[in-house]
Amino acid sequence: MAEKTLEEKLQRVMDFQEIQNIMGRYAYYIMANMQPRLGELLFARKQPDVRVYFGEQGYFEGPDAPDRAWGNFEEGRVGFMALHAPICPVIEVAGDGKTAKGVWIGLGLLAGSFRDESKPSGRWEWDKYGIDFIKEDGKWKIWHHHIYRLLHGWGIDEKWAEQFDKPEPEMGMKMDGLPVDDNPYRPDTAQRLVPKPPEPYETWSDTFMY
Amino acid sequence: MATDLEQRVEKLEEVNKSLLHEVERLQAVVEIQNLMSTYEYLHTANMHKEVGDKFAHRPDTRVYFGEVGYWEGPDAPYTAWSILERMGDTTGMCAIHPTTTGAIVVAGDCKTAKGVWIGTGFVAHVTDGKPGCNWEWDKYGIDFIKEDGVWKFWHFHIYRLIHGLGWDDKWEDFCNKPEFVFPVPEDIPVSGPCPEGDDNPYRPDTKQRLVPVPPTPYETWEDTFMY
Repeated sequence: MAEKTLEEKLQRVMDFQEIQNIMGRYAYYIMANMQPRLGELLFARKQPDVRVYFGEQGYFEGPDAPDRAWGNFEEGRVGFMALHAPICPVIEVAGDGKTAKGVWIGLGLLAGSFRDESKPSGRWEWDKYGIDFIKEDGKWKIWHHHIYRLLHGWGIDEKWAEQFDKPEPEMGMKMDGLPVDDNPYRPDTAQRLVPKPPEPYETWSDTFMY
Repeated sequence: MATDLEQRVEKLEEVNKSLLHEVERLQAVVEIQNLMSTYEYLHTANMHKEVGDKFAHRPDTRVYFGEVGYWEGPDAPYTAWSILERMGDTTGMCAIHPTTTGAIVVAGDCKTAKGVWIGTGFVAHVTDGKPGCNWEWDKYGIDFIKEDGVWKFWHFHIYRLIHGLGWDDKWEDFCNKPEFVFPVPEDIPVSGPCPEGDDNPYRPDTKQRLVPVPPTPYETWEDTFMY
């Protein structure tokens, strides 16, 4: 990577913190059931290739991808909570300062009454996130938002071994593309390095898309 | 005699040098946070050789597994994690300890650094054909050293917090069980024991202490302690 000036070095440290704050805000917003507003609050709006991946199902693409992904979510849903606290960050800002990449592990649980249940229940939901960011009008925005399942839908009151007898949930969402790199925990699979933590890179063409 | 302008330029150069040094210390915090998190992703993917590559390979490199002791030397990380390599097929294995609550201090001279984290995790496995899982929460106390311009793990100390709590266990059952102790093969002996008092897992009959001690600002390695 080319030698940086003092200002450029300082900017990269500030970028790291700003990106960490975006992921923190994301977690607080979804916990407050503000999913339909994620697009306007956190995502790039001027890129044709904005993507939102739901690990096992596929992805939405386009400037309105987050609106289509979360637009039908019912705000202010009583008794519902989606907690996905993102920790364990690895964040790399491109040498040219125009894009950035990061991975996180989301410690989470979903609380609420789900469509196939009449009683409230809690489910563990641990994810991994691989996210590309882009600077739009001087501000960092989420560009490609990829959720990778780790433990999804584990009933908090259920035994560990019982989790694997259940069928995979059918979400029935019509999406723009197929899933890639889905590697949830299963006793019959090995864990892989998915998503791959980012390494230093100079410009977007030197790296990969989450 | 230096003119007023020359004196001002000299002063600005000093300020610039000092600012560059402080920005390098801030960059070090970012790089160390990234290094620590990268360890966790590699560990979960059972990439133990790649974990070893993130270490400084010095005579005094150490890896402590809380309750069993430490391995020392340039190959310490490869030796320590070879225990997991021996388990062979990793199908159904998921050891995940995502780290949070980092406290990182970079030495004033920017040659070493120290950090503590809490690892919130579990170990899923398949034993005798049956899937099982234990909660495994740890604390980490780690010294870092800069080698050829790259931050590396130097002393890597894992302190148990909650080990051996079965996913399906009741809390009371966990408290009444004998302590889980990591099994070390006889042919991979530790180089030495853990310092007395450093192992402080949660037990109903013990007090929680400040282990590891979060780092405080220090100028150079001689001014601090080893994790």
